[in-house]
Amino acid sequence: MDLRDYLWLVPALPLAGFLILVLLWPWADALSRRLPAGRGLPPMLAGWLATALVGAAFALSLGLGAQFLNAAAIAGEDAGHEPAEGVAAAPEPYVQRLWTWMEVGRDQVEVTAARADLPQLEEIPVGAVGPSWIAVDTVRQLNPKALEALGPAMGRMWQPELTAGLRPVGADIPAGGLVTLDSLPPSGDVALENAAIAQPRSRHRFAVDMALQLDGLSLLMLLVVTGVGFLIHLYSIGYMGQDAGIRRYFSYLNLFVFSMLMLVLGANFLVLFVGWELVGACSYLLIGFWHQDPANAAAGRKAFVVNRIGDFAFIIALMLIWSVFGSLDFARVFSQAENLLPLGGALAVAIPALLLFGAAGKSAQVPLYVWLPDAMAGPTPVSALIHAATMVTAGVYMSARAHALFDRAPVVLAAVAVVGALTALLAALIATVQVDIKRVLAYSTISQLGFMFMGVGAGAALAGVFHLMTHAFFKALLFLGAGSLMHAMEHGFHHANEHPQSVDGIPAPQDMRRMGGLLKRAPVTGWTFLIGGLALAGFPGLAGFWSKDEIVHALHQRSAAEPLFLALWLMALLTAFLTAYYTGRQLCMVLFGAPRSSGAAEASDSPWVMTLPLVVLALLSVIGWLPGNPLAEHSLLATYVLPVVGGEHGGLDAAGAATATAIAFAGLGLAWLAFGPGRRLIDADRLAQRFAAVRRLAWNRFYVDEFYDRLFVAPFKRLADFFWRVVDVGMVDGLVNWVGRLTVGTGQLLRGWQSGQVRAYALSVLLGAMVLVWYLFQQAWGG
Amino acid sequence: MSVPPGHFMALSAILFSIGVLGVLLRRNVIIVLMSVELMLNAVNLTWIAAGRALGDIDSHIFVFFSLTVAAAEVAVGLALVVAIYRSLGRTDVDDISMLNG
Repeated sequence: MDLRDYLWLVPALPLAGFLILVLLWPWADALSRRLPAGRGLPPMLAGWLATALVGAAFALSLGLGAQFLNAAAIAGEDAGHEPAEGVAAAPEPYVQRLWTWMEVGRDQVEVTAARADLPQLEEIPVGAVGPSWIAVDTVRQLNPKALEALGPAMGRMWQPELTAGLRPVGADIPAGGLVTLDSLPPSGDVALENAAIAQPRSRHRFAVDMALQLDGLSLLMLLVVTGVGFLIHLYSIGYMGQDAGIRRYFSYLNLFVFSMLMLVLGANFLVLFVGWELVGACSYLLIGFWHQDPANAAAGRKAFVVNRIGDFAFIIALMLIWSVFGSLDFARVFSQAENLLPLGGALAVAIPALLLFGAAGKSAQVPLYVWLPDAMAGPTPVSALIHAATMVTAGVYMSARAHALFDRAPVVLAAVAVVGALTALLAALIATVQVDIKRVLAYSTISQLGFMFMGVGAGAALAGVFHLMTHAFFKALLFLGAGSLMHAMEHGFHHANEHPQSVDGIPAPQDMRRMGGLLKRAPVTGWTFLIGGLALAGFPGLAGFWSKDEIVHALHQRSAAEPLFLALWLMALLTAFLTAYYTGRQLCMVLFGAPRSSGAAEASDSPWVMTLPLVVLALLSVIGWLPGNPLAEHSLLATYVLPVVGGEHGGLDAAGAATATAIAFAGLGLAWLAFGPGRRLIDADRLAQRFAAVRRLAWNRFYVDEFYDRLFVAPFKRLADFFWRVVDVGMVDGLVNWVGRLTVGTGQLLRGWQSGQVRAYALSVLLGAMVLVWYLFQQAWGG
Repeated sequence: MSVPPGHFMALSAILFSIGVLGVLLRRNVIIVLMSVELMLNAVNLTWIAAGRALGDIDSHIFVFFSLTVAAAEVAVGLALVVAIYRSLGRTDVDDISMLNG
């Protein structure tokens, strides 16, 4: 059985969950209430249903993965590799076309010259004469080999009389008069097809298939999305079990998984874009899940609007891609990038630059990162799934996927790395002073996404994707752990019968200043949180260590020749140090020392549905680096993902590993000295006082939000105000009101005549009749 | 010796004018109605006189129709007068001005 036939089922399962929860649930609920002693469906059933469907998608993805590896092994043997080598060639990407999504217009060909204009047509040897002699000539220039393949078709390509201009292929061109290589009947001849592609064409036909693509990269994303998604669904059953909106929550969550799967499975840019937009919509819905609080709704709106700014650039990039390639299919676009995008040309720069801007919006990079910290207003599992593990990595995925376009503009690739480095450093600086447990993780996510961008920009897209995967594990773990700890704190406060106020706008259960000693009170959550934190900090041997240092290594390798990358490398090292520091600070404040509030003192661990995903993710944070093992020559990622994302397999050398270890220990050690339990060797408060200015800057997030507010939001509001007050109220409404007033005024003038006096009417009739009679007399007898 | 048509025309013009003045100047509904009848019959007289002068019989037939319609109109008019009197207690035309603007 070929499991790949069922590839469509992977996104279809969560979609089915969404539809069932939204459409069928109310109906089934009403039905069950009508039964004797029926009390409606238990709300928890919605959670289990959604979880089961995502779990089924994950199981199917695992099966697909197994078959993929199996097929790869067979392909490797067929290719004549020694099985002993253990090297399998990556199978060809598998594309599943579900249906023709849209097809507009017809193929047209530009006939550049009439027969009379062609010089000495007779001199062209028999058999080489084509209808579009010019076109064939173009092919000759572009791809000399293709012309040979055209040989048999040449005889049919005769068009004696053709005037210059654009004409559609087909109807009005006589049979046998094939003008374009496009209209050759499909012969299954690959070379012929290449020849057809070598001709710029399809300018007037827009055709997109709803198609899914399975290759190493999308398989990896598939497993991460469904796997982490399944664990987070499971966790949500515990976390959201008491919430009144549980059905709404799980329907959104299922819709998100579906959208994300469309994003990573799409075989062309449009399917990717639809998924891209849908995940943004789900993000909006889930950030504002508790929309009763206007602040949450505002956070959702902010995320959506900032994302739309990036999406706008993305749409323009899609249009440019279509205008250059005449297609949006990955296979077509990427294989033709070298031919159609001259290195350093305007379009070659514009397309990846716009894609980068789009990716910066979705992946929260400078300058569009401001939405992600606010996105923590949503439920914590949502932060874990959408705003840490999956959706925000879409930009990295897309940049890695479209590396063929980025490769045509080295300057944009460098820009990717610079954007990543700036984001990573800025976010890490901000994270060092935050005291909200989720906010630290949010800035850490932005920072780590910056690392991934650095990897992609340095030409080591594989390292970026590798970090994407490990980050998904340990950051999901950290967020879920934070949620579990908040849960524990809430429980503690409840137990102590206390209702503490928010300080600095941070609710008490997520305020790290009130935590401490939670490792003892909530052991499972505490230990797994510790593992996640160490993985993030780059503790040697854990997942984050390998992937992050592969990126740093890639930067280091390029720094020898390029000074820019030397600077980026140093920034990456500094960021790695800061990462270890703020992670250590967080771990110390949360897990160690004495409890700093009754909530922490009375906290207790969460139920198994919440801790089980933590344990699994902790395990993955420890061993999750094995598929991408930088030490092995032929790790799974290097074998199957590298052909898709291009670039080089970075690896890791001893010096790099030693530096990374030293940095991680330095950061963790500094944090331990400043915030660790017992006697503090470094007084953090005095340090804070000494660097009060820097601290205030970081605490206020470098005033970037305020800056954007002044620069964009306020002028926009003024503009909207102008349109409201002047254009709408003044002009549009004014015009309507003016017409109304005119009518009323005219009526006021005329109402006097309507006296109701019959004799007055009779008099006016008489006068009218007299005028009429006088006129008729004038006509008849007047001179 | 027959009466010349001009005399008929003059008489009907005088009758018509009396009717018009009655409609315009009198305020009692019944008088107004009578004046309307007078105007109507002045026109009928014109018609008959013209038919006689021109030797045309059709106009006579039209006058019969006109008389019939006038009879019906009087019936309706008097019924309205009764209705007005019942509801207002008076028959003054100027009091019936509820349809003013």
